[in-house]
Amino acid sequence: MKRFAGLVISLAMVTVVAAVYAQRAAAPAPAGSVTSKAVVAANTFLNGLSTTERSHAAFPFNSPQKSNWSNLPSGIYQRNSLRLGDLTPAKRDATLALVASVLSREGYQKVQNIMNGDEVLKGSGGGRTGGRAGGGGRGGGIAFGLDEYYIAVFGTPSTTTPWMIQFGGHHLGINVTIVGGNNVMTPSLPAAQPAKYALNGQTIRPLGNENDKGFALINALDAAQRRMAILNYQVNDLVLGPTEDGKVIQPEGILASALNSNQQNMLLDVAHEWVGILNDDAAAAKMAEIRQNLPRTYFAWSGSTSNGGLAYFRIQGPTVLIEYAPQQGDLDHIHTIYRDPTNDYGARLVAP
Amino acid sequence: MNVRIAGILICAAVLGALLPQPAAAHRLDEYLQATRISVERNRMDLAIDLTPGVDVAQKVMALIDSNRDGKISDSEGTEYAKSVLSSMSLKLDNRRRLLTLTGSRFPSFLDMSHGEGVIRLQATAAIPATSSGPHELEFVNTHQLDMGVYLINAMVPADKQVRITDQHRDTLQHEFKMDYRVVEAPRGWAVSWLLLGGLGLATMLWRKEALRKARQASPVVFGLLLASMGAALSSSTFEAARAQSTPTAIDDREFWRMVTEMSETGGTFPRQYMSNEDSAQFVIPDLKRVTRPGGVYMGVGLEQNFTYIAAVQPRLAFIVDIRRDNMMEHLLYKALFELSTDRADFLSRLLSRKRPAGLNSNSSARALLDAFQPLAADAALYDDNLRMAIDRLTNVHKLPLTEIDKADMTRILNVFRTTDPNTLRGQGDNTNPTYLQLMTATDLEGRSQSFLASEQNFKVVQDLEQKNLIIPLVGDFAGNKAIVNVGIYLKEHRASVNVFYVSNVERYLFDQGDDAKKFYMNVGALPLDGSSTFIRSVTSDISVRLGIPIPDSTAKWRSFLVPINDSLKAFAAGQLQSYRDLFAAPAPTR
Repeated sequence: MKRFAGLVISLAMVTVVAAVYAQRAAAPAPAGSVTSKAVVAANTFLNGLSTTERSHAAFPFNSPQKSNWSNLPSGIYQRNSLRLGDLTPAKRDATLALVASVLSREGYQKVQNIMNGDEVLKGSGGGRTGGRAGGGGRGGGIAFGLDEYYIAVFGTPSTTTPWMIQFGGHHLGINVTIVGGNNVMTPSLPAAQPAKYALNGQTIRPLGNENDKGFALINALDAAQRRMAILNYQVNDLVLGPTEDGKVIQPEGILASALNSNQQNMLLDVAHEWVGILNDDAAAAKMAEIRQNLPRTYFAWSGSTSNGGLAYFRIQGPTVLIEYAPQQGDLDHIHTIYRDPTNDYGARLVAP
Repeated sequence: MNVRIAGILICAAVLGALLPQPAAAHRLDEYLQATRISVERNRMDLAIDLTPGVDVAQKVMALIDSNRDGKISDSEGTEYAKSVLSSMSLKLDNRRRLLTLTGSRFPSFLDMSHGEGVIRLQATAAIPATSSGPHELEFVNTHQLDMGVYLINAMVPADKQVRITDQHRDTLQHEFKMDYRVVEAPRGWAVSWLLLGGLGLATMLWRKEALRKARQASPVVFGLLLASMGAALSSSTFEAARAQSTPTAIDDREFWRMVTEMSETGGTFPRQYMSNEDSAQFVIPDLKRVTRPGGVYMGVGLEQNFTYIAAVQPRLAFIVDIRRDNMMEHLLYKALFELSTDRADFLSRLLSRKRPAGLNSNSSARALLDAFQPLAADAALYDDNLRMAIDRLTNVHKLPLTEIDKADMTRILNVFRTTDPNTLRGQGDNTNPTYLQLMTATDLEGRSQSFLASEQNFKVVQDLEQKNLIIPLVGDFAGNKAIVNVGIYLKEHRASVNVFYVSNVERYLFDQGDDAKKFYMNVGALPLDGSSTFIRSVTSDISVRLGIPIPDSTAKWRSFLVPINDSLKAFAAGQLQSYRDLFAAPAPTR
């Protein structure tokens, strides 16, 4: 009986030690400077709101509102969060400062470019495959443009416990989950219409790098590699768009391990256009993860291989899915999606 | 125009006039139909998202709203959903399967009029539990072809026993074909739990009183104990489960996919048509002692791999060589193995010489080759053999060989025709062993162990070739694809490499920058076990030049067995800085 009791005690001790270790392993990383700055920015933003505004901006961390985002404009899609157009200039600045606090400089510029493009679209009648009317706003008709972006904060801004920032509107959905020092920006949807416009004397292409780097990569492949990469069918839209959280399609195309190191770097560079929207520290961690999974990452292409032609492409690995899809044959109207099927909304970080 | 159609048009027009004008919408004159297919062993589930564009929304609304009241009733929704399913066809293994509607959700007409209202349908097809092996699914969507734009995707199966091996679509994606395999369940787990039950019962009968007391004292700890016992038993039988998970045969498409997608573009190395390692069989007795049949073999080079494969009897083999020519010769060998009835027939095809009389399954390798040696090559036989070999690969296996591939095979077979077993040698000088000498060589104990030494040895290789289980790859040992992909494949199939014949390739890797490091990193990423073994070879002249101690012998080469983990540890410890170091630490077994 003594030996048996000893065995039982030993097993219990092992179990306890294992449980403690597992808990420690799952603990969030220490808060970095980005998280600290984001907490300050979030509190500044939230504290500046009226009670009514706050009721539109603050949600519990696990609120179903978290998945209530879309590429669609107001009027078609009801976001229920806080609309930029309803805010004073100071509150609007605080909103954008909060968004900027978790993004890289280039990423925030991309967001600005997408938003400004939407304003251009509003003023130009909607484009060939886009909207044809502006105006409206909350409770009104269909509307897009700079006023029609929405912000929501899920959970309590913290350097230790999970919370999330959601910002988006027409052609933009940014979801940044923050758990300690870890920041995750999946799922997110950067899109563009027009894909090219002039503003203040400058030509802006919000997703120009994504387009150009994608074409550069497909053209860097040799004939045999292209045969593997290029799908023999048309892809007319995103396969895993805004509502398709956590889904994993059977990958196709060429495995990154079939690429030489230069081509692999080009592939990583393409992916970085999405990953690098997030702040540099978090983007570097994500890129390291994608690089580690390169042997199981696919690159698929459909359509023209001449830059300026119509083409869809997809990067799919164990922890990343990126799609780039022109809409209905319109080069001036691009949708993209960036996902991590294992970590959308930071699922991996907040798992019990 | 009849009254009913006129009514529909009027209603649609009125409805359109009442709705806001299209704004900020995306779909215009297309009806996007996205289907995602999930496959399990006994069912297929379809999720169908239908998004009518702005300009076709009214047409779709008219299809749904049969009573023209501007609303979608449950019955109208169901009827429309059924009509959608009726324009779809799902076949499994060439047999049509009935699609049953399991769910539907309709947007408002207002949302649809903006071009972004999505109709979401779910359907399922019950199928008999699919047996292990390959299966083919065909799906066609012909719903509203005049305005339809289609996406069809397979989801990664949640069922780990279902593995998708290939997908095909027509250009517009309304036709979809998918090949998948159902792999055998890992029976080791079942054995585990049976053992657990048995052990638990036996323990209870044996120490009933003690257990009763323990249970009363602490039911939680008692539960933990039982769970721990289960885990321990499961772990002990996990290796058995792994052995069930590698394929027992690979279908042709998957074989070609592996050959092409796991391969690299290839590099240069002197061309040769046969091995020149006369010491290959020296290590076979030890190799048989340290490895168990049923593992995974990896190797480099040509027919010497068949000899090792016959010895270790793996369930799967990968031959990785930087020369594309090497892969082509293996594919040619594959065809010859498959076409041949026995060793004599095989040699007849390989050497383009008519089969001599008097050879049978008991003939020794020496008797076989001696019988062929004096015969002249037969041009007609060569033509027939070549045609049959290429036909075997391209028409039976349906491997899409290029004209260049066929020309390579023609050149290779012609080499065997225009030389003979006693003059064909591996690359190097004319002191290298001939084909006849290698096939009739022995181990250090005097036993002939080549793949042509016995009918049994030959059949081991032939059986694997017939099942597409010898995979020739083009790959650089220091590359970032072929060996990496083998590792990924084996991990996915829960198998480990038990033999890796590396010949003298490491000599070149140590001479090429950090290629040796890359190679050991590649090997380190392979699934290995405690018995995983390298077969290394060194030429006697290199051994003299580099001061590598090898036993005295008349052989030009010497082969060694080394535990792979020992090499990896030595490399990690910085003990392997040169090719010579391989033969110092750890000490080879032969």
